[in-house]
Amino acid sequence: MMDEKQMAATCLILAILGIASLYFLAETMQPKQARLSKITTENVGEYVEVFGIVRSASNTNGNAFIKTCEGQACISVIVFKKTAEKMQNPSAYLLEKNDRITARGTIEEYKGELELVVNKADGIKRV
Amino acid sequence: MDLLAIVFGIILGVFAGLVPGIHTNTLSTILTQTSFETEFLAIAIVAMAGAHAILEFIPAIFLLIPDSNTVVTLLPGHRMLMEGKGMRALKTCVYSALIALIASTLLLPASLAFFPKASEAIQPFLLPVMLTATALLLASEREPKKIIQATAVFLLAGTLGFIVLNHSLVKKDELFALFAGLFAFAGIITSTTTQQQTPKQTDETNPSIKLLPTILAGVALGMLADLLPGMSTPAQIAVFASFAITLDTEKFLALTSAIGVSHLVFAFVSALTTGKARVGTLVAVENLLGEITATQMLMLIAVLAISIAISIILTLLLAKKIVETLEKIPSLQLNALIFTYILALVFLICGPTGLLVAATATSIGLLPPLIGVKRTHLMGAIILPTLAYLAGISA
Repeated sequence: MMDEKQMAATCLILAILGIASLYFLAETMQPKQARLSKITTENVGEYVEVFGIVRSASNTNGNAFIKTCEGQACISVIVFKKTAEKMQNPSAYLLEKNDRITARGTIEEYKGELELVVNKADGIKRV
Repeated sequence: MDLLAIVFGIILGVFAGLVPGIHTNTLSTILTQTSFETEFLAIAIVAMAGAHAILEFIPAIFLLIPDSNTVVTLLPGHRMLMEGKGMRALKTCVYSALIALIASTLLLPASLAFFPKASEAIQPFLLPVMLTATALLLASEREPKKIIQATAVFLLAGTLGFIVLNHSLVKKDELFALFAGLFAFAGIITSTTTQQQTPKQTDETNPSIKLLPTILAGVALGMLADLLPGMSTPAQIAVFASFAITLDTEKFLALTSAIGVSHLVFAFVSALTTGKARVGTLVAVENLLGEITATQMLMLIAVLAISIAISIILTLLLAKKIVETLEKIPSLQLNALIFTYILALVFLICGPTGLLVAATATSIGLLPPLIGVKRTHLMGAIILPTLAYLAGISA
């Protein structure tokens, strides 16, 4: 049987391996490609990539709100200030109506509406 | 006021409280999709939240099953259980909740004026205060070697928490997978390997009135939980508060219980004055009613109060029966049953990655008893991400 020191060492190694694996998973995780018309509350919590055309874009206290549509289906793409400030190409603040974009982020539900929260600086691309 | 809606909500809250893994946010979402009248649903959801906030102490204390609200009561609650004082721990929690409810309600008029300004005023001081509190937590180990070991545990748990909370690795309820590993699995493995048998619960005495100042402090801190961004769970406030105030096990339980209820009550004020509903069930109510008016707020707080009061009676009645049943089951079998149940929940709720999160968290959760430092350092899992948020490192 292992003594307490050996067990602690084993736990430490397993913990470091687990953290490294999760970090690797997080960094290499590819978003699920999703059509805006197919996104439902079932997708809440999922990391997805969507394509759409900017219908409107606004900036409130540094947070960017980009209404993006594909046909009749629309979603609010949200870039919070801390992420938006890191964005450069394109800047979340400079998107305009009719820009064609892909947005990567997590589907969340806020006040009954679905939204896509972008949490990486390269989460929005012009296409 | 619809009494049927209150009864319906309480039944759901009892169910969600006693069956861990059934989240009130999930039930609220399901309810909002039914064809009941909106006011009936809003009342039922609030009554459910109140009942759940009280009933969830039972699995936390007697079964070591975590939840984001009760996670900080697991360790002290379990400690009292192993001393044969499980019922007293439960009474401490529920009576503190009742007093906190009364105090929070009395403070409502003042808080309506205070809330809009307080959030901005507190914000600049938050990071330095929390960094100091964290340093004090680690320094509480006293010996240099222990402080280094505690720091390692804190950073391991914190790194895991940071990765899990800032990426969409786990489909839902990432905190459940995290806490299941850090506290439930690690606790069950420790108690199984040390062959701890749950003793007969003999102490059913009521908690002392001396807990009152601690409960009132909890009410003030619960208000803070509604004001501060990054403080998504009352558990975070409770951990930081415990560094600043010297607390024995019972006082800690009283404090965390009061914070939980006060957080729930002041969430209504937050929704009314700042437009930010900081509690999932309240978001569902807002979705139903639109913006909550002052009259609706008062009515819903009355519903909450009735629900909590009834749930306290139910909790004490049910807990006695549960304790009697648990005492008949051999400890090893009970541990195996709880372990399997939580494992299945982690898989069903959080998916396969949730199992990896829970396994990693278990490895970290086993470290404190093995190296002889306090298990409180595991709260780094939520403290470090909070510090990162306040420092602007994470979104």
